[in-house]
This record gives sequence, structure tokens and C-alpha cells, in this order.
Amino acid sequence: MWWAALAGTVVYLDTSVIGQTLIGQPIVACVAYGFWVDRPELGLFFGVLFELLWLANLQIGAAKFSEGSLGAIIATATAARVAPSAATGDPSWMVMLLCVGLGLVFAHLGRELAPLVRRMMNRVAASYVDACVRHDQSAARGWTLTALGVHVAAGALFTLAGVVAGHFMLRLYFGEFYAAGPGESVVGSTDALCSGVWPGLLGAGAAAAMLQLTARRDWIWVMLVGAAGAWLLI
Amino acid sequence: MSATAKNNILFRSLALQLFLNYKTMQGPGYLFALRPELRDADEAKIRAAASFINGHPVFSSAALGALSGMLREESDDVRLESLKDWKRQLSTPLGAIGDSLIWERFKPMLLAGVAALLLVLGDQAQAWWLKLSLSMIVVYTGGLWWFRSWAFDRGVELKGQLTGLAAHAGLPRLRKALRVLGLLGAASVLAASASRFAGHELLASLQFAAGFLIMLAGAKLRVSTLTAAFFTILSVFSLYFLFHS
Repeated sequence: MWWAALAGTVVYLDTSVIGQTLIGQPIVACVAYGFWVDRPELGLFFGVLFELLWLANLQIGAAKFSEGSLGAIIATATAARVAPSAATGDPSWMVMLLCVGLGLVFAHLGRELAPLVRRMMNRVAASYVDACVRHDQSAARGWTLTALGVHVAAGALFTLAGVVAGHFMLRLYFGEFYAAGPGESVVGSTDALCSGVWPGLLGAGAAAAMLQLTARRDWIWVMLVGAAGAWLLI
Repeated sequence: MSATAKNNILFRSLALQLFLNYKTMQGPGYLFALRPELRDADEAKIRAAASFINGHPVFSSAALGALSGMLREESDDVRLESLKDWKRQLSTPLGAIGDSLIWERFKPMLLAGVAALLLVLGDQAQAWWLKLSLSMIVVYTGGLWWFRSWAFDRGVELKGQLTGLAAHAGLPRLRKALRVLGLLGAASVLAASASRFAGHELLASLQFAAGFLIMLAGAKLRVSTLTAAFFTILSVFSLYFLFHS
């Protein structure tokens, strides 16, 4: 759980605060987390899915935005707490579905995180400027660290809230011993139904990529080139 | 300005959003980036550096260059007040051009490309992920660092005439190139994801198509990604029961 909070902090800092390289993107962060906890297959699943779904949902200007990257880390960390199915050796599709839902909900809830932090930053930023005006180096450094601390706390606490919520959600569904993995009866009765979440949401992700990367006049070309490419790959 | 001083400002500008707030937006971040230049500056110059501005973090390098040049000059109160107005007016072009080129094209194009490659690689994706991710990060951050440096120099050169950069001859060519690359990125995601299901299993192919159409409809109706995903999952279940009834 603490590793998840750390990963969430790094993701939050990279996506919103410092550097804005791509290490906080789901396709990088989730897979890295997956390798760290020895479940790379989960990292790839959530990394690719959430990356595509949130391509069309970027942080633009001062507007509210969904915390898709934090949602992806929450989903990955929650799913990684459940052992692979004893029946198939793979993660159970029911767990994947529940964690996708959790990640989506927390990504949406994350829309309120940036406004909250920016409101808190009104005072911190003003104090930093005042310290610079007074040429008070130590106070300026202190307010810089305070600003960083606010962001670190926002990323860590939000991720922690998501993983804790996921813990209780899965415990509610699978009972106290969910960490041992869902039993054969659960896997047998739900895998076929829940596995549809992968093609369904991947389709939604492909549409999100098209929406983000092209104007409407180019959609026809995307579909034609995409169909030709799919035919070649098959 | 020496190369060390310039790189110091550019490096500090990576934290431009650290103090992002509703009153002055990135203004205090500009002060943070320019602080080494303003060690002995008076109150009026420091407050001018920290006044309201909100542009794209990468394109802001041009504004930082112009601002550092202007703040080095002798200024009176009237001139510093007009500098604050200039910063405020600069927000719209800096944000609009930067967002449309970087947030809306360059960044998602690279991410979509890597996602498509991982989908095509299938079982080999784990082995290739590190190489692909590192290459993507190097191309993205390296490209943007080069641009920051170039834009900073143009800012120093143009100062108050910075908005003239919007008429740069290379901009239409860049937009055209990004349009083609965006089209290829989107098509590669569509091809890579569709090829995993099409021709293999009818139910999965239909579920893929349902997700695709629901997301398009969601964008048309301006619903959130959460709502579109919820309806996608609902349609996936409906198709499953339809097939097995």
C-alpha cells in the first residue's frame, strides 16, 4: 500500500507539477509498478487501457481534468494485492473489472483534486512572493518546500484513499481472504462474462485515440488505414 | 546571457507549475525560474515577474526569455505596470499554440504509438516495454528541451514583440506534419487493437465495436470518460447475454 502511495506521488508530481516528462503516464508508471511488485501483466493491462482511455482527456489550461494516471495506478495497485487465480494462473477477470471500475471512479473524483490544491496554493504562492520581495532566502526556500509538500500530500493521500477503498471493495466481494485469489467457482462463473471488458474498453480507447489525434474530417482516413493495418496484422 | 545562466533558468522552469494558483496562475512559477536573475532586484521588478500569466509550460520558455531580457533593463513603475499587462495578454497565445501542438498532438501521438506497439507485440510486450518507454521519454523530453532552448533565445531576441512568433513560417508546416503523424498514430492504435479480436471471435469483435461507437457517441454528447466507460461495460454484458441466451 505504501509503495502504491509512493508511485501515486511520483505520478502526480510528474503529470501536474514538475518536469512533465512521460514517466507519470499510465503506460510507463503502471508497468513499472507492475514490474516492481512482480505483476507486469497487470501493469501492461491497466497501463495500455487507461492510457488510451485518457488520451482524449488532457490537462489543458486551468480547467478541471480527470486524474487518469492516478486512477490507473490505483487500479494496478489494487489488482496486484489479489493473487492470480489458482484455477488459471492468470488474474481473474472479475478482479480486473472491479479494479477498472475503481480506477475510473477515482480518476473522475480526481477532477476535484487540482482545484483544491490550487486554492491552497493561493496563500502559499503569495507568501513565497512576499519572501522573495523581502530577500529572505530561508523563508523563500521554506515556502518552496511547503508547495512541494502540498503536492506530495495530495498525490500520496489520494492514491492511498483509492487503494484503501479498493481493499475494502474486494474484501466485500471475495471475503476476508481475498488476497489468496478468487476461488475456482468465482473464476469459472464470471471469467467468460467479465473478460468482455478488455475488447469493449480497448474499442473505447481506440476511439479516444482517434478523437484526440485527428480532426473529424480525417476520421474516414483513420478508419481506412486502421482497417488495412488490422487486416495485415491478422 | 551566459549558457549557464540560461540553462539554470530553463532547468528551474521545469517547476513552473509548482505554485500554480487561481489568483496569479503560473506567475510565482516564473519568479521561481527567474530568481537567480533577480537576486538584487527591487520589489516592483519581483512583483512584475510574479504577476499573472498562464501559458503552456514548454512554450513559456519564450516568455521567460523575453521577461529576463526586459527585467534586466532599467524600468520605472509605469513600464513595469505595462509589463504586467503584456504578461496577461501573452497567456492566450502561449496557451493556445502550446496546447494545440504539444498536449493535443505531440504527447498523445507518442503515447498512442507506444500503446499500439505494445498491443502488436502481445506476449513479447513485457520484454520490449522498457526499451520502448525509454525511447519515447528520450524523444519527448529531448525534443521539448531543444524547443525550450530555442524558444528562450527567440524570447531574449524579440522581447516585447514575442507574439510575432505566432506568425513563424515553420508553424503551418509543423501543424501539417503533426496532422499526418496524428492520423498514423490513431490508425495504428485502431489496427493494433482491432487485430486482437477481429477474425478470432465474433463476440469479442462486437464488444470492441460497441466500445468504439459508444466512445464516439459519448464525445458527441459531451459525456465524461467515466460515463462512456460505464455504458461500454453495460453493452459488453448485454452482448454476452444476447449471445448466450
